[in-house]
Amino acid sequence: MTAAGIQRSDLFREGALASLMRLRWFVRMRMAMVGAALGALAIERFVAPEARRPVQLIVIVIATAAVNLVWIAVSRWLANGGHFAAAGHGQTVQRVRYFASAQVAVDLLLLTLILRYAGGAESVLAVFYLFHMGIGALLLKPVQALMQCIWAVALYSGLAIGELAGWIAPHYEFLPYLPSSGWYREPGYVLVATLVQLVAVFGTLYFTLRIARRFDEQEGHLRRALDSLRASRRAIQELQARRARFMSTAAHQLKSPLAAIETMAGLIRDGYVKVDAAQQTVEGIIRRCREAMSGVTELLTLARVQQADPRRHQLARSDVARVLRHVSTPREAEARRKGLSYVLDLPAEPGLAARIDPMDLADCVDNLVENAIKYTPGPGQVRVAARRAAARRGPEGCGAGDIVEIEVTDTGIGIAEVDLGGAAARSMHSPIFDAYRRGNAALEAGIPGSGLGLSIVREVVEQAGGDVEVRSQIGTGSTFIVRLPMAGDAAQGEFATEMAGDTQATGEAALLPPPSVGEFPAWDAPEERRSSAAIDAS
Amino acid sequence: MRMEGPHILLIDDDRDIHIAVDAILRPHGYRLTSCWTGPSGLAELRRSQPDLLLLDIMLSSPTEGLDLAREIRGDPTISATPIVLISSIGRKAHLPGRTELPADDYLEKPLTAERLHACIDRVLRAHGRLCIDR
Repeated sequence: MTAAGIQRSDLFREGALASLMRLRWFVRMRMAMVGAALGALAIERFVAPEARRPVQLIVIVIATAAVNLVWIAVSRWLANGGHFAAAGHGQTVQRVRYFASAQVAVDLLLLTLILRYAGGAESVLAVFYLFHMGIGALLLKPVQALMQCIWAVALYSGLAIGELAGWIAPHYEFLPYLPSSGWYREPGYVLVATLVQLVAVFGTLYFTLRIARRFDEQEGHLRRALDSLRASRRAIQELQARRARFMSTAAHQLKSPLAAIETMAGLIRDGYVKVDAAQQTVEGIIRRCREAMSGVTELLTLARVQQADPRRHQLARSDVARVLRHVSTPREAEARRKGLSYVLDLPAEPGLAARIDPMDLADCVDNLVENAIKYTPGPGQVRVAARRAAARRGPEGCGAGDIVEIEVTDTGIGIAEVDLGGAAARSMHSPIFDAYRRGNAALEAGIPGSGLGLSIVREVVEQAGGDVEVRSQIGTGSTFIVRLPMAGDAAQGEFATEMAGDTQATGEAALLPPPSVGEFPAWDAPEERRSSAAIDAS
Repeated sequence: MRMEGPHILLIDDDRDIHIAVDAILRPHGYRLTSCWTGPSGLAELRRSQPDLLLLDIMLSSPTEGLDLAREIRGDPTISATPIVLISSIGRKAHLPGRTELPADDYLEKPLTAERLHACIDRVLRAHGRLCIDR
């Protein structure tokens, strides 16, 4: 079998090659049967030299071998890679079935001819009809197998009736050295033998078909399981590769400030920095230490968000105005110190809530506001706004209902189109959201940053079933719009009930936090929650 | 000491590295030009044709420096510029595509005065460029 070059998985899915494999086994077995028949005849001549067999019997056995050589040639042609590639899968399956049909039909004819010269209707070799029915049920379509059944019964009854009527003569005994029973001349025997043959042949077909169908189903299950296992393995490998890349980048990012610290300390030690200028270098060392700390903190935040159960958002409810005020209090002071005006435009609708964990939403908005302040030189403006909006395309999981839009706009240095990933990438799939990716404008301006802030934003918003849009122009500023599913009271109630039903059914209730239908926990708590999350993450 | 020492272009997004490299090289007569991003560094390279390029591997993306080095090697007008890659990724053996690195040498961060001088001297000598006798 030269199966090389054949697209194995595709063909196995179609079943063509699998059927052909079975056929080749059938062909090999026929050769063994021919060998066994010739061997039996030879032994018989040795054991019972007085027994005389008609020469036609030998000729038929040898003809079977010759026909089998033709089958081998045909099966080689069918298995040929070029043929498989040229013919469509459906066509190939069809050809393999015709080939199997032809073999079984010719086999039945040859078997009947052997019977004709070795015992007629009385021959015990008639059991081989059943054998062929089994093969047919495994290799053929049920209709084709049924046709073979009818063909087998017709051949056997034709032989029996022919001998009974004297149309087929002379009769050759199955064992010529035993006295003849003469049953082939008895109408009763011929009737019973034909009926038994009929029942046996159809019965064999029926049971084998049933078993074959179950095997086929199981084979299909196995094949699908194998396919999905392979897909899972590919996905795992890809994930591992991504994780490894991320870890090496993260390690590199953490090593950068450490390397700078060592270099700066080395300058002092080696006398490259004069004593009066050493203070400045030491300040630099402290700054880089803080940068390293901040990098580790953001990495831990990202790890916490990635590890957390995304379902926490489904059960949560964030009062948007409250979260924005919480984030704005320290950031507004920071902005003013930098000479920026800070505008907080709270939603007109009181109690507007988003379906997202309040602490995660605060992290998200804080990251965006921090960036806005960081990348806007004074005098400039940072504006944080929230509003209720109708879902246009509807963030995933949000349906056609209303959404909450949180917009952070600055008049800062902006992001170049090339960093955004071209005009098409205005969504959170823009490379600017990738971990450790930083815009050239930010680097040019020498603004330090971990490159993880937007990754955290994307991770959280994605988990909450929302999206982020980014609009930016170099020198003009940037706008980030976070769209989140709205948490209405009614919707929340429905969802909480639904989840309660689910968890009862799956027994996962212990894994889920209790539904917080009312207000989210007081904002005095986040520091405490944050530190416990950090401990978990470490 | 000559007034016009070799001209070194440093492309690195880390400002402290610029200050440190300047502190290490300037007393020995080198002239240092600083760029913080790939595009501005490439423009400066074409403009001033420095004697040596010190290039950080991780700029706006984790491999931007390597891509930039390949671009420089592929441009006949600037391909002769000696390139020393610098990075905190690790030893040279840990770099992606280390067997055919588009550079003359590689320096692992943290940079020290001694290693930086030794590397620059080695690469400049190999290219028959002006060297500083320290």
